[in-house]
Amino acid sequence: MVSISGFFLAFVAWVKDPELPARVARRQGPLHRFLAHEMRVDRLARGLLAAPLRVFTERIVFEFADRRFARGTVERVVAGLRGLGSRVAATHSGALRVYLAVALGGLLLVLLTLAS
Amino acid sequence: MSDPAVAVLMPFVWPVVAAVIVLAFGRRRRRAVDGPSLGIALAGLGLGFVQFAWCWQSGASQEAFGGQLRVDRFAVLVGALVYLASAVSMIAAAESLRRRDRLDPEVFALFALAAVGLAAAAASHHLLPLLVAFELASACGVALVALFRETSRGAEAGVKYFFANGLAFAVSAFGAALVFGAIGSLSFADVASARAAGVGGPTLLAGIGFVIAGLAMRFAAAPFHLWFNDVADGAPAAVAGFLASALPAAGIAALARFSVAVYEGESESLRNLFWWLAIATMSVGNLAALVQTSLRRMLASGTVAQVGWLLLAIAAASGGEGADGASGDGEALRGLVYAIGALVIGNLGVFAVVGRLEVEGEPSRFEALSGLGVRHPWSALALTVHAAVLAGIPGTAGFVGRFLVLGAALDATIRTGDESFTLLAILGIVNGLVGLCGYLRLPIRTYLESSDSVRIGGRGRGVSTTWVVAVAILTFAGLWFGLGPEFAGLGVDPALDLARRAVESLR
Amino acid sequence: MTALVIVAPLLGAALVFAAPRSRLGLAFGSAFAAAGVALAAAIALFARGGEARITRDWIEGIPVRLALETDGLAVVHLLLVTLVVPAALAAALRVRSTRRRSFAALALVFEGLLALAFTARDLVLFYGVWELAAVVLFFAIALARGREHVRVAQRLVLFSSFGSLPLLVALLYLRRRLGGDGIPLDLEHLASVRLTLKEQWLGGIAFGLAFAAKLGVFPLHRWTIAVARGAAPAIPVLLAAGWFALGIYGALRFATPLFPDALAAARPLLVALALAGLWFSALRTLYALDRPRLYADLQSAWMALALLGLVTGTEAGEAGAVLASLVAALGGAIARLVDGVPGPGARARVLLRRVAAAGFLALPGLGGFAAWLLVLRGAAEESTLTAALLGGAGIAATWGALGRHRERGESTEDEATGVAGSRFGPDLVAALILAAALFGLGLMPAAVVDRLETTRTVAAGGSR
Repeated sequence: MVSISGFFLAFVAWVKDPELPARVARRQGPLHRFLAHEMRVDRLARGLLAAPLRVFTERIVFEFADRRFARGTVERVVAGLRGLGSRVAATHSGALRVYLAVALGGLLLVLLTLAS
Repeated sequence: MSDPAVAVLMPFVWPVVAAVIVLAFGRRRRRAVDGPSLGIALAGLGLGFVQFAWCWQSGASQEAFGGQLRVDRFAVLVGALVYLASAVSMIAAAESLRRRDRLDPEVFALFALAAVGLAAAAASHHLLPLLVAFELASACGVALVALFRETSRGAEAGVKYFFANGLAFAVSAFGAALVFGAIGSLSFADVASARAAGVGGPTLLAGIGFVIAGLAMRFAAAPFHLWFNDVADGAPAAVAGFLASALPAAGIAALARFSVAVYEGESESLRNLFWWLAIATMSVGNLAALVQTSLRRMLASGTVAQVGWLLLAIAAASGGEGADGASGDGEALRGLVYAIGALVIGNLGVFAVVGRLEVEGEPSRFEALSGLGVRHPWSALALTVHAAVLAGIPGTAGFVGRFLVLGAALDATIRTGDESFTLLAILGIVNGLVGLCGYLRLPIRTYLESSDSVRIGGRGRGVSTTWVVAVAILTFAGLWFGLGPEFAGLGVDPALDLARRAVESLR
Repeated sequence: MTALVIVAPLLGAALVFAAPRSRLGLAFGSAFAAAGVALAAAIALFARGGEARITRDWIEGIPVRLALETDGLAVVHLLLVTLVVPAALAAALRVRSTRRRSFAALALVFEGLLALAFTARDLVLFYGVWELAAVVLFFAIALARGREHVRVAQRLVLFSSFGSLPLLVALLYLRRRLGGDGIPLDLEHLASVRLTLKEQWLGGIAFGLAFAAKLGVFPLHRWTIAVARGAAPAIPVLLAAGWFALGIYGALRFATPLFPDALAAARPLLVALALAGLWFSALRTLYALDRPRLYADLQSAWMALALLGLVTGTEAGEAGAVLASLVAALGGAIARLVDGVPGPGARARVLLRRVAAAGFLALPGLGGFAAWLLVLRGAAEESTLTAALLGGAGIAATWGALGRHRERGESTEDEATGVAGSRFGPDLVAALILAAALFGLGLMPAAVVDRLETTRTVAAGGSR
C-alpha cells in the first residue's frame, strides 16, 4: 500500500512536469546536491568520504575481490587444468619404451586393485 | 538356413564373402573409386546388417560353436553399429584416398573384414573366439593404419598399432591361460558359475585382471591408451574414424559381456577396478584434449575420454543388489548401449569432416578449421553437431547417453548406500565440463575465428553425393536420437527400448 | 495462445532463413512480423492473466514431458521476452558488418526457446531448453561479432555450464528420488517429494550455482563484464530478454518449493551473499571505466537486489525480486540500445539514456522504485540491519550511476561510426517502447504484483 500510494504521488509529479532531467535532479533534492555537487567544491567532504571510498573500491573491490578473487580464481583454475593437461599430454612422447613402461605399470595397478 | 548355427553365423559370413570377391576382382584405378568394389563391400555389410536384423527379430539368443559365439540382441546391436561404422568409413575413405591416389580395392575388403572381427568380438562368450576375433580386426587394422607408410607419421602409426595389439594379445592370452588353469574352462558362463560358487581363488582373479587389462589395451583405456594418439594422428582420417568408433564400441561391449559374468559373487575389488579405470581414463583423456595442438590428437584424446564414460557405465553396473534385492545394472548397461551409439555417430561424423578437410590439402591443425563456417557452412554445421554429440549437449544423442549413465551411478548410491558412486557421478560431471572446454574449441575455430589469415583449399572441389548423404544421415541421427519423439519406429524412446531389450538379452 | 508465443518466433526464424540472401529488408520484415505476433499473443495472455496447462508426453525414457502452463509468473516473463527480442533485432539492424540475417534468425530461435523455458513446468524440459538457449547464444555472439567475441563466447559457455552441470546431477538425483523411469519431473510430482535436510542442502547448492551463474552476481559475474566489453551491442540486449531473468525465475519456480528448509536455514548466509554482491556491484559502478561496464555493473547490482528479495522469503521480497529483474533487463536493454549502437538522433538518445538511468536510480514513477521498495519491505521484515545496509548500497549505486551519467552523458558523437539508416531508426523506436514499459512497471506495479500473487495462491492451493 505504501509503495502504491508512493507511485500515485510520483505519477502526479511526473505528469505535471515533463522536463525530465531537471526534475530528476530536483527530486533527488538535498541528497543529490550533497553527493554530486557539494562534493566537487568541498575538499573536506571529499577527503572524508570520497577518498576513502575510492581507495576502498580500488583496493578491495577492484583489486582484491574482482581481479584477484573472481577473475583470479577463473584464471587459476584454467591455468591449473592446462598445466595438468600439458603434463598428461607430455606422456604421449612417442617413445615405445615409455608406452610399454606405462602399460606394464598399469597392469600392475590393475592386479593390485583386484588383490586389495 | 535350416541349421540354426549357420543362421547365427550368416551376419559374419556376408561381409567376408564380399571381401573375398573384392580381393579377387577389384581393379585399381588412378584417382578414382572402383565403384563395383565399393558397392560389393557395402552390399556385404548391408546383407550382414539385414541378417542381424533378422536375428534381432527372432528374439532368443542363438549360439554357435558350442556356446562360444552368442548372437544375442546385445551382440546384434553392437555388431550393427560396427557395420555402420565400417560402411561410413569406407565411403569417407573412398572420398579421401582417391584424391591421394591410394585407393586400392583391398581397402574396402580390409574395412569389411575388420568389421567382422570386431562384431564377432562383441558376440564372443568365450575367451578364445574373443582373442581370435580381435586378432582378425587388428591384422586388418594395421594394414589400414599403415596406408601412408612412406610418411614418417604413417609408419609410426602402423608400428604403434602393431605393438599395442601385440601387447594386448600377449596380456589377454596370459590371462586366458590363468583362467583356464584356475577353472579348466574359458567360457564366460563357466567363469560366472565359478565366481558365484567362490572357486578359482586368486589365480582366477589374476586371470580376470589380465584379461581386463588386455581388453583395455584394445580400446585405449588409461593407462593403456598412449598408442591411440599416434595412431589417430598418422592413419588416414577415415581409418582413424573407424578405430575411434568401432574399436571402443566392440571392445567395451566385450568388456561389458565379460563383466556381467565376473560380477557374479563378491565383486568389491572389481568395482574398485572399474571405478579407477573410468576416472583415470576420463580425466586423462579430457585433460590431454584441452591442450593438444593437433586436431587429430585432440579428437583422439577426446575419444579416450569417451571410453572413460563407457567405463563409468560399467562401473555403475557393478552396484549389485540393494537391500530390497533390486538390481540396477540394467539401467547402467542401457545407458552404456546408448552412449556407445552416440560415440559411434559422433566420432564417425567428426572424422568424416576432418577427412574432407585433409582432402583439400589442409593439414590436421586446428587452423584448418578457421573460417570453415564461411567456406563450407554445411560441413561446419555437421562438425559442430557431432562435436556437440561428443560433448553431451542436451538435444543430442550424447546427452541422452550421459543422462542414463549418470542416473545409473546415482541410482547405485541410492540402492546400495555406497557414496562412492555419487563421487563417481560428480567426478564425471567435472570431467564433462573439462571435456566441453575441449570440444568447444571446434565450433570456436569454425565459426568465431576468421579465415582471413588461412586460405588453404577453398570452394569448388565438390565431394561425392554418397559422402554427403552419409554425413547428413549421421548428423540427423545425432540430433534425432537426442530429442526426436517417436516417428516411424525411430526416435529417443524406440532407441531406448532397443537398448533395453539388448541389455535384457545379456543375462 | 502460449503455443503461439513459442511457435511464432520459430516459424519466423525459418522464414528468415528462407528469405533470399540479398533481400535483407524482407528477412527483417518477417522477423519483426513474427516477433510482433508473439508480442501480441503475450499481451493477450497478460491481459487474460494466463492460460491453463498444455501437457504432452514427449520422451518417456528421459523422461521429458512437454508440460506448459502460463501462470502469472510466466506471463510477466513472456512479456519481457517478446518486448526485448525485437529490440535486439533493431539493434542488430543498425550495425553494418554483422551477419544480420542469420543473427535475426537465431535471435528468434532464442526467443522461442526462452518462451518455452518460462512456461515449462517440467524440470528436465526447463534444463534442456536452457542449455539449448546457451548454444544458440553462442552462435549469436559468433555472428554478431564484437571486439572480443571469442572470449565472450567462451566465458558464456563456461559459466553457463559451470552452473548447469551440478543442476544436471541434482536433476538426476531427484528423478531417482521420485521413483525412476516413468515419472516426469514436473512441478506436481516434485511437490509430492519430501527431501531430507541434507538432500535439500546439496540440491540447493546445485540449483543455487546454476541460477547464480545465470544471474551474473558476484563472484560469478565475470562473464557479464566480458559481454559488456567485448560483444556486439545487440548481444547485451538479447541477453536482457530473459537470460538474466531466468535465474530469478528458475529459483522462484523450482528451487524455493523444493528446498524450503535448507533455504530457511541458509537465509543469513544467502542474505550476506546477496548484500555482498549488491555492494560489490554498486561500488564498481562508482568507478566504472566506461559506459558498457557501467551498465553491466548496474545490471549486476539490480540482479543482486533481486536475489536479496528472493532470499528474504517474504511475499513482498519475492515480488520485488521479479520486479527488480525486470527493471534490470529493461534498463540494461534501453541503455545499450541507445548507447552501444552508433547512430544519430543524439537528443533522443540522451533522453532515453536518462530514462534508463532513472530506472536504475529507483526514481519514483519508474519500475525500479517499486522493486526497490518491495525488496526493502521484504528485507525489513527479515532484519532491520539488512534494510539499512541495502539502502546504503542502493544510494551508492544511484549516485555512481548518476555521476557517470552526468559526466559523460552528453558526448555521443564519439561513437557515431558505421552509421546505417535514418535519423530515427528502429532501435530508437524499440528503446522508446521499452522505456514505456519501464514507466508502465513503475506506474502500475500492481498489475505485475497481482499476477504474481495468483501464482502463489495456485502454488499454495494446488501443489504444495
